Amino acid sequence: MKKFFFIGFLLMAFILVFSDELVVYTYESLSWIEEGLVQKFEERCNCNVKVVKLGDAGNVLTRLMLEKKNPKADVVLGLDQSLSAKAIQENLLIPYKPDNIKNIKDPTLIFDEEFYVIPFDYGAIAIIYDPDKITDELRSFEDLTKYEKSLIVQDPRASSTGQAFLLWTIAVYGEDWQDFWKRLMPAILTISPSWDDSFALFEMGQAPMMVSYATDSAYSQYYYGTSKYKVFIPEEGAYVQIEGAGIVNGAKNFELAKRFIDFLLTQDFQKEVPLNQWMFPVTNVELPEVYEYAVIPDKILTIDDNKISKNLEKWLNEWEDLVF
Amino acid sequence: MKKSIKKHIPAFIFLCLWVIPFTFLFIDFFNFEDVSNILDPRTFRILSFTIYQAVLSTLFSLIITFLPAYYASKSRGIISKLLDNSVFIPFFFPPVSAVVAFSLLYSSTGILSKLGLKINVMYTLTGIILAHIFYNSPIFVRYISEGLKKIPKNFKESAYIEGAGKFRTFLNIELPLIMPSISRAFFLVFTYNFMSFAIVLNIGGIKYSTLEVAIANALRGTFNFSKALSYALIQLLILATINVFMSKFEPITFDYESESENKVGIFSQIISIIYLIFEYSIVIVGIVSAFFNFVTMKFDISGLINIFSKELNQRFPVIQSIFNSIFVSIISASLSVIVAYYLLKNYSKFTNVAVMSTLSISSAFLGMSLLYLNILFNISYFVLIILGYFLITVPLSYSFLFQPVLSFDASIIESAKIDGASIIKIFSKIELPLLFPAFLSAFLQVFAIIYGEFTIGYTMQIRDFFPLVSIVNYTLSSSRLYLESNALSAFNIVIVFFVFYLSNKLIKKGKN
Repeated sequence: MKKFFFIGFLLMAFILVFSDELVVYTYESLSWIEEGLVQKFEERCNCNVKVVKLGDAGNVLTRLMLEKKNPKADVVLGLDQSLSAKAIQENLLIPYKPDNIKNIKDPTLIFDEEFYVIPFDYGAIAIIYDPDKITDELRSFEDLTKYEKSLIVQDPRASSTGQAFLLWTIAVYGEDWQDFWKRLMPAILTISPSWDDSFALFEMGQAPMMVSYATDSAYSQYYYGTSKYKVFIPEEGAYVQIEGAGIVNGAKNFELAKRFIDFLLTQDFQKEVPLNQWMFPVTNVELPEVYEYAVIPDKILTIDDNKISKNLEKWLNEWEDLVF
Repeated sequence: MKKSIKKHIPAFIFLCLWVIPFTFLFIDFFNFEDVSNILDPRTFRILSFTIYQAVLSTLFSLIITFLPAYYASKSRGIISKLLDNSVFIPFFFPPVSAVVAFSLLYSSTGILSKLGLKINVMYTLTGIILAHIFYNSPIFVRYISEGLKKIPKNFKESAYIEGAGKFRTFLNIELPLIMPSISRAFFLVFTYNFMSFAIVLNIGGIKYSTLEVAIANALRGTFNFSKALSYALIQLLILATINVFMSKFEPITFDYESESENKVGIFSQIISIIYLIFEYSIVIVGIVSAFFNFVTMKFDISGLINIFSKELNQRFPVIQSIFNSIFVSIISASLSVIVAYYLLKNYSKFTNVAVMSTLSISSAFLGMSLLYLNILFNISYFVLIILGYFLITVPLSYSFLFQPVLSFDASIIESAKIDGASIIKIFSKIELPLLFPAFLSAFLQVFAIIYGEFTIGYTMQIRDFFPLVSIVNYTLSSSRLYLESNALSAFNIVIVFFVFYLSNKLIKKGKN
């Protein structure tokens, strides 16, 4: 009996020490990957995956920075361009170029040329509006300034959507972005801390417009059977938010982490993106029918990552001075 | 060792418990260069607004609650009971639900607007003040009414015999005697208003920012921990200074006999009813939104059913989080009440300042410090969350027990000592039975506060390790499951109400 317990104890110890458990940090809204996709990967690699959901993308980066001395994650999923720039600057990631990177349909989506962060989805920031309340045709950014207290935006210091909107206006107006914000101020009803808070207020009818995503009309069609909200992308061009994944510097399961990054660019993963994440997949997978309702921008605007990395804090301070 | 120094030791140990988690965060992330941040005009601007809104909110809360508090102290009816119990509202009513309820009531598209009352206070300073009054004014009601109840009957009778009217008696006799209660409540309410976060962000919106908002932005927006720490230090220094000043009002203790019910003027009654409508309407809207969709104006109980469904619990561990929160709240609240009692038994001015100053420490920072302990030393989240809740609630338990413990008749204990009773016997046979209602009341208030606490759990991102009900509720809301989130808020309110109902019964039974 004693022998039996001893062998059992050794076996347990062996499993604990040598088991392959990949730890993935991501934000709450990406929890859908736990409903089938993670299991698929576990079967493929004969390993365990632990998905840790940490509020929003900002929380994920905060956790990585706190864990710099003692990293606990192997992979981080859900960093956009500006968060990636900060993560790279802080030396939180290590580069890895996946073998299947050629699956990415548009090379411009690879926003980090050193492969610290590999894109897995993208989507354009847009203004969504209630057509019952906004009946005029919206064409440009300037049209937004005509409506008093009608727009809900997110705080760029706290929300990645808010930050993308600020960067969008910088991409459009360049050095004059602060003048545009001065003109926009009377049109803003409130600046909320996150996209969720904005959407809750928007659904309550607090304001007829909010900063959101170009796929929202497809979402609305899919869940409510009607495109009750319209999407507007100004003629100046669209700003695309690209989300990526990276391997954490100090990852304990480097090989598994590499396989997980490869997995993100496979058909299995990419085909689940449109109806779960409501973003566009980065590889050529067939889009669901409902994506006919999504607005696909004609003109894409970008800001160089290095420029974002160098100027983001300055821009945020300038924005704060202007708004408050 | 000198007796006076010995008295300071428990408070000193309590302060050390605070310092330990912060030390590691400071060592690894604080740059002394960032102290210059204090001189930044931006910091001054944020600080000025923080003080401005906190002063206005606190003064208005005090003015508005004076008559309801007076009424609660003199009357024993249902209005008085509801006024007394309103103190629990802010502690268990989550800010997210309060913001939604506020929007449903007071926005341009809200219920009052639909009824023809064009009140739109959303995204204004008035909105911030109104929400702070809702949240924090019940503290004034409780403290002032408790203070008034404890004034001996013969004090007022002597004044009446001398020919003083009711107003004169109040001004010259009652008001000076309740100043310590007012000052303690003032400090609590001012501190909560000063450290306001969710209300300022969601109801104030554009233009408004407090230090606590600036801390959150520095932590999560620009990831500048050092800058956030410098903001937290300013906050701590200011509130600690105010606390030192407020502690000048020493408690007054009496041998008092409780007054029988007094007649209260109709004006006080009307004001009290209006105040109650204001407080409870927001809570009722919060509860009703569990089964009534205010956007579509239709009844819908699917949210209530869903929160207990197997499918939803696989994604959002609602049931597990309810049990976890109850469990953690019981342990932390028990520890908090025991330690607060022990600190009060060793009362000194230093104890008072040391304990109450910890109220000024940012909960977001404490959460981050505790998380850092987990990262560095793998201390379990369960232990850390209990430590966090214990630390933030000791000053509250201390406040709740302050009057009953310090005004306890010392002669009874002295007599027992002369008769040779041990400390344990004195506690179990004399203090515990007599102080039981106060202990139970403090425990339940702290239980409710911990049960609804959000900031520490959210900052620690504890959801996947040890789900707590406030965090799971937040994730429901952020996953667009608004009906489910409202249903869970309402369920939490019912739990806390039930606990208080039970406690009142127990207290009555104990008294009998």
